[in-house]
Order: sequence, then structure tokens, then C-alpha cells
Amino acid sequence: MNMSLNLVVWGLVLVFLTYTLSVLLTNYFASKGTKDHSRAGETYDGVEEGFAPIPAWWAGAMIVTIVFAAIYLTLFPGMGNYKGLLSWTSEAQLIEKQIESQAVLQEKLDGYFQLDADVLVNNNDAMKLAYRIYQNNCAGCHGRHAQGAKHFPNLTDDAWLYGGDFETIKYSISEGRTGVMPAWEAVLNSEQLDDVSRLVMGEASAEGEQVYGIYCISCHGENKEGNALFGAPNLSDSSWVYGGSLEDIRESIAKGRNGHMPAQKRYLGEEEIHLLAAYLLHLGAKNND
Amino acid sequence: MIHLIEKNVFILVLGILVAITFGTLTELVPMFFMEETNEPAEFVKPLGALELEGRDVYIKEGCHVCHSQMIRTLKTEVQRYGHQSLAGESVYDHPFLWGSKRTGPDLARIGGRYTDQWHLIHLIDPRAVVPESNMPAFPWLSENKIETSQTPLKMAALRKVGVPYTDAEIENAESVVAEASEMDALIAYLQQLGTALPNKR
Repeated sequence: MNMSLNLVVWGLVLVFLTYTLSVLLTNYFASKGTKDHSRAGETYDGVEEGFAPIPAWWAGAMIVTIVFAAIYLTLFPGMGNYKGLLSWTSEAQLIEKQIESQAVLQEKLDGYFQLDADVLVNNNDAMKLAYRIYQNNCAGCHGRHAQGAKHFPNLTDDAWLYGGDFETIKYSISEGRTGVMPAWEAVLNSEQLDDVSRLVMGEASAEGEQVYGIYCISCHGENKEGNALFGAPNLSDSSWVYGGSLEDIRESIAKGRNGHMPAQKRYLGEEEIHLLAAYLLHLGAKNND
Repeated sequence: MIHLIEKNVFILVLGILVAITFGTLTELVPMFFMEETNEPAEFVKPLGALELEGRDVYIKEGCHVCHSQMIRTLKTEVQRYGHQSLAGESVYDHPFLWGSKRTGPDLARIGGRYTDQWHLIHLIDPRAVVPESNMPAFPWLSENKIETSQTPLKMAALRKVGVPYTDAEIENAESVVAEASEMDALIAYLQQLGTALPNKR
């Protein structure tokens, strides 16, 4: 309490000093009048320095700024702890704006939450809103156009690790996913790794089939179709989260993978996830047309 | 008197200093005595040894030149980056890393937003995850190891300026950062940024 009074007094004294000094100096020079050679300034290389009066408009503007500052510092905080007569804070202003815009946003989201995916994908306004939510929350990993990158799935294709129906996509976004591929170099030797990698790439061999039939089939299925229950990829399609070259595939098998989609329910509400899932279906439809 | 100021440069400099300190004294000095700017916000703790080394990697590599760490009280900014930055969140930062430019996004609440794996890939080659990025690549971070003998000294030095490290923390520091690469340290630092506030987004 005492501290804040000290600060206000301190601030006031300084402001007073600053402006008084400026006003005094201004007046001093203004009073020097017209060219009075007896009180003229220096002569530098034959060029005379004089003291002309300060223009009225200039001095006037300065007075205005001083008055403005005095009013401003009374109404708004600017000196230590003094809160200002209006008790304005940037945080309060922010909260006010947030409440306002959140109300508008929530109304839209609630409306869209009632609609089914097939309706939403054709609703331009909904998709525009979804686009912005996507850019802010998802684009960092999945790419600006949801095209993905190595390690981060392409969300616009037909290949869905855990299932591509609306509800499953919502679940994946909300709860997150962890895709674990064991590191088989602990179990398989280099030749076996080569053989099974080639098999995955389409070059069948007896050795490759044997390895696959023992180690891979339980997750990736008899026909390499994968298993959406635990996100084991379909190995017979052209969608590769970790790269589809022979080297990449061999590395995935040998070193294993540990893909992690963070659960978004911590950050996004149900309505937003509903909208995002529809957006992904919309992107997929656009991509596959 | 004017002649004196004009002709004697030392007096001129003194006069300038006096004039410009008015602003400093009015706006800055009061902050040194305000609780808001001196007390840590709730849940703010000093950085662990690995995160501290990561912070030094952040400074060394010049990350603060392109990335700010200050979320302002503007609606759209808070919407994108999370809760506005509080003064009490930077009390233990010597120096603070608020930055002054956003070539890249603000990082004040980047902690937990991306996986460790994402940071690893992104730091080694930003264009691998963000094709349109013009951030430079930092592939050497994985190869360089932290100079572990320096860590306890850094923590002791920080303690002298008010960061409350315990003796135990300083003693254990070297073992915490043993074998760590600069990449490990930097990712650890990034993943704790802005996590002091519970509901940050």
C-alpha cells in the first residue's frame, strides 16, 4: 500500500520535472526574440547562428501533448502501481473480447455439432471454420494440406490405419493413437530382414514368405491387409507413413517404429473434433475425385 | 550556458543522460519493486539440469532471433498460441528470451504441443515436416554432446541471482546430463516451455 503511494508520488514528481523543464527551456528560448546580434550565438565559418522565436504552432502542439499526457496518466496506468481512474487493464480487455467471440463461435459449433458428416462436408462455412481449426492444431504435423510427411500420416488418402469411418476418426483425434512396430533386428538376421523387406515391396521369395508367416502375419494379416484394431498398416497398398523405399521399409522392420498421435481432447472440444473429422472426409473426397 | 553545453562534449553527454533517464526512472525502475514482476507465477519452477542446458543451446543456436516467447493480450494471439504470457513466468530466466521477431511462430507455450519425434525431425530438417519453411537446419545437434562439467557451475551462478536451486540439485546436475546430446537437451527445454500454467490452450 505504502509502496504504491510512493511509486505514484515518484512517478508524478518525475513527470512534473520532465515537463516543467521542457516548458521552461522552451519559454527561455522563445523569449530570446528576433535576431538580436548582441545575444547571438556562435559564428561558424562565417555562418551566423541566431535565436529566432519558436513557432507558435510548434509550441502550441507541445502544450497540447503535455496536457494530453497529464490526462492520459490520470485515466490510465503508466506510473508504477497506479491503476488509473478507468482501472483499464489489457487482460480485462482481452477477456471481454474473448467472451464476445467465444459466444459467436460456440453458437456456430453447436449448430454444426447437430449435423451429420455428409451434410457438413457440403457446408462451405463449416468447412472454412474447420480449415482454420485444422491449420492451428493439426497442420504442424500433418501438413498445410493434410498431405502428411514421413512419420505423419497423410489424412487425405483412403488409407486409414485405425479405420476411416466418421466415428473412428473422431476417436483417433480425441483420444490419440500410439502405433508400435517392434524392432525385429533383435530376432531376425540381416538376410531375413532383406528377404522380408523385399517381400513387402512385392518381390516374393520362399525365405521372405517364411519369415512373414512366422513373425508378421499375426498383426499384418495373411494377405498383408493390416488390422485396423491396433493400427497395423496394410502392407499391400501404396501408403507408407515411414517411407516406401526398400531402405525405409527395412529400417521400419529392423528398428521398429513408435508413432504417436497426441490426444486432442485436452485442447479441443467435442464440437471442434466433430467438425475436424468432417473436414478430413471432405478433403479425402476432394482428393479422390 | 548553451555555449557550455554545445562546446563541452562531456557536459553534453551528461545532459543527455539526465534527460533520457527520466523515461527509465518513470517506467522501468518502479518495476524493480513490484511483486507482479518479481515473484514467480504459481507452479513455476527453476529449470532442471537438462532443460537448462537446452536453454543454452537455444541461445547458442540463435533461436530467439527468429522465435519470440511472449504471448500478448490480443484475442487472436491467445487463440493461436495459448494463454498470454505472465511476468511471473520469466522470473527465473536470466536473461529472458521474449524475443523481438516472429520469423517463426511464438514458442512461449510450445511445450507438449508436438511430440519429441516431431521436434527431432523438424530440427534436423525443417522442410521434412513443413515444406514451405525457411528455417535453417540444425543437424549437428544430435552429434554434439553437452559439456557436463559446466552444468553445476551454471546452476550455482543462477542461484546467485535468485534462482532457488538446492544443493542436491546442483550436485546431481552432472549425472542428469551425462551422455546427453544437445538435441536431447534442446527438446527437453522446448517441451517444458509454457507448461507451468495448467490449462494453457
